[in-house]
Amino acid sequence: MKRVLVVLACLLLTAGAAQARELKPFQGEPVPPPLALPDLNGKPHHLADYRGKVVLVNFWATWCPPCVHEMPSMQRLKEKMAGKPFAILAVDMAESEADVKKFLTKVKVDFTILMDRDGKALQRWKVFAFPTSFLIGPDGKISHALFGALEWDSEEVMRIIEGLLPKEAGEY
Amino acid sequence: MLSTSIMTRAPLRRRIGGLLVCAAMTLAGGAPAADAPRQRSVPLGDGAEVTVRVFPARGRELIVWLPSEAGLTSTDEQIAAQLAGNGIEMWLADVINARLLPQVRSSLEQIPAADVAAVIAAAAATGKRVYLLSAARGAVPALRGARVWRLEHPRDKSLAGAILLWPNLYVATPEPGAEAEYLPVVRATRLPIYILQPQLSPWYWRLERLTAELQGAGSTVRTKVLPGVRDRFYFRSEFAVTEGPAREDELTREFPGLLREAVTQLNPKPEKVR
Repeated sequence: MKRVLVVLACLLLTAGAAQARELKPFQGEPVPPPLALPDLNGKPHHLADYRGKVVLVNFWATWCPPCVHEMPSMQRLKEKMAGKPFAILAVDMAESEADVKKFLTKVKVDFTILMDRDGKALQRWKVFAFPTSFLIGPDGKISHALFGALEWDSEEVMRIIEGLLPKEAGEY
Repeated sequence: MLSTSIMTRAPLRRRIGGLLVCAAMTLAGGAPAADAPRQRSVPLGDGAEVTVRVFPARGRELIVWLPSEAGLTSTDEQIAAQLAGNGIEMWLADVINARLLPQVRSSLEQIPAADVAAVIAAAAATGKRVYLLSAARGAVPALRGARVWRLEHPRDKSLAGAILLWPNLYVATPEPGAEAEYLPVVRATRLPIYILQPQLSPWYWRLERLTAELQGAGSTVRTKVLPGVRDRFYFRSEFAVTEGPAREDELTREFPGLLREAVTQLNPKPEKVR
């Protein structure tokens, strides 16, 4: 019983730490590594083709509880940003299409999921833990980044994302 | 919305899995009955002491199991009992509690290396070949303790190696996009090391680099990748919020055998399993 209480206390501490995570301005090299991967239907996607849009690049896996936790808020974010130059590219870590498709029967999201079958993208992007997210500005540079889960449709996050949108169409 | 089926706690079958491990090993042909576990204390220089739960065995191998950030779990004890039943003596050394530290990750870095070295010395005094075992951040006190013990006993060959389960030997979680750095103990370690690394883990992709870092410092490193499971798979039922991969139940039952294999790989003159 004592051990269970200790474990629960640790989980509460961990949850508290997770809630304290925030999307911070990116301090590293702003030019992102290449990202060219197929989606679940085999259609190729290149990050460079999204120039002019704000892009949320999210590294995740179906077996990662915090990744699963934040996905519904990513879907709500997508819906709230409908009609604006914004896209989500959720990069799955080296799982099979069958596993991801099975997962999507349980978690209903319809943003773009890319398949990093050989883990090369996550290595290029130096992903250390899951989930890890990068916000790419319309200029194609990394603007903000975060390790850990987030409520992506919270007011604070929406304010950051909307602040990155091009002021006028054709600005970039 | 998330489906409720994946937000509930891990299935009961996972919790039963640990018990099945015990049953499977007990039923394994030819496994001798182990003596009853007992408790002993290893005195430290300043009056403190490490409480060790000993699962005695008559074989020549002895594993000192050090806590990870999850502490020493009831599943660890079940596995220890099974391995003892197969001739490997198991010592579960509570080096966190010896210093009255809270059971959190940062405590593992506060454990004096001399405390672990004292436990190794006590284990070595049995005349058996000693192996260290720990998971995740527990690899840090394990390697620091091994280093101090070797400095104090340069001619003693009792410490045969360390079995590290998904070791976390990084300084800290790096900022996104930054390279992870290893703790200095990685470069200061010269020890036979066997790493068990689940494939469903970001650290799987760093295994090659960790191996190179350890080898570069003079350690001999063997690795075994565990496909289809996550870090902490064998006791994850205490933590999981999603249903885990089906392979985790299966591998939980095979886990004692994996540890036996690790001992065999580290031991230049393996003893036949009793």
